Amino acid sequence: MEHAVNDVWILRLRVWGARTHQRLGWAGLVGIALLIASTVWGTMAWQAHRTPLPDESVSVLPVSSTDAQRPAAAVPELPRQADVALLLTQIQQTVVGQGLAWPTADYKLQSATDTAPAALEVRCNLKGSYPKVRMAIAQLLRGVPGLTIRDLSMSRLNIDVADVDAKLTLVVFLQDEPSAAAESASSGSKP
Amino acid sequence: MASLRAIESATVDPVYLLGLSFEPSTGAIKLEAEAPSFEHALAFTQVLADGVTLSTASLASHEQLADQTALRPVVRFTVLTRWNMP
Repeated sequence: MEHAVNDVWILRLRVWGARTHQRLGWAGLVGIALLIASTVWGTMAWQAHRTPLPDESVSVLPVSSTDAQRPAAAVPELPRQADVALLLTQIQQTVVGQGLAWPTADYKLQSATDTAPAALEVRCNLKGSYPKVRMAIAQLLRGVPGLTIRDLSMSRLNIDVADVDAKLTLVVFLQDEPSAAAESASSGSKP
Repeated sequence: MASLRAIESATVDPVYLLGLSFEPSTGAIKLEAEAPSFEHALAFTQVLADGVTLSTASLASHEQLADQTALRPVVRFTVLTRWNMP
C-alpha cells in the first residue's frame, strides 16, 4: 500500500518535471538555477558585509566602567627612566621624520613626588607646515606611552607664509624608580 | 585632536588662522586670525560656538588693518574658546 502511494508521488513529480521542462525549456531551467545561485551568493555577501571587522569592533565598542577598573595589564607600560635617551631619540626622529625643523629644545627630568610620578619634560620649537606639525603631534601621542601635551602654540607672520613656528611642551610620565628618582634636570639644545 | 579638527573645519576661506595656542591644563584655546571684514570674524566665532567640540567661543578683540600691498581691508581678530573636557 505504502509502496503504491510512493509510486503515485514519484509519478506526479515526474509529470510536473516534464511539464515544467516543456514550458520553460533547458534555458529557462538554467536561468532559474542561476537566479537561485545568485540570490544565495548575494545573501552570503550581505551577511559578510554586515559582520564588523575585528578592528572596527574594537574602536566602536564603548569602554564600560568595569573595563576601566580592570588591572593595568592592557595599559602600555610607562617608559623607564633609564630609557630617557631612547625616548628623546624617538621624539626627535618622529618630528624630523615629518620634515620639521627641530632647532632648539630643552629637556628636564622631574623626579617623582608624593602627588606626581617622575616625568620628562621636553620644550621644543618646531618649524614647518601646519599639517606636518599636526601629524607629528598625532604620531607622538600614538607612539609614546605616557606622553601628554602640556603647552602648544603655533603662529605665523601673515597668511602668505606657509610655515608655522610651533612651541610645544611635552611631558612623558615615567615609571617610578627609587634609585634614579633623586636625580633631576638635564638640559641641552639637542638630544 | 578633536578640538584641532573643529577649528580646521571652521576655518574656511576667506578666514585664515595666524596663530593658535592651547592650554591643556585649563582647556583654553586662543586663536588669532585674519578676515576681510568684521562680519566674517563674527561669523567664524559663531561657527566655533555652534560646534559640539568647543564649549564656548567669543570674540576677544579685533583690529582693522590697511593692507597696503593688496589694497584690501583686513581685520585681525582674536577668539577665545575652550574645549569640552571629558
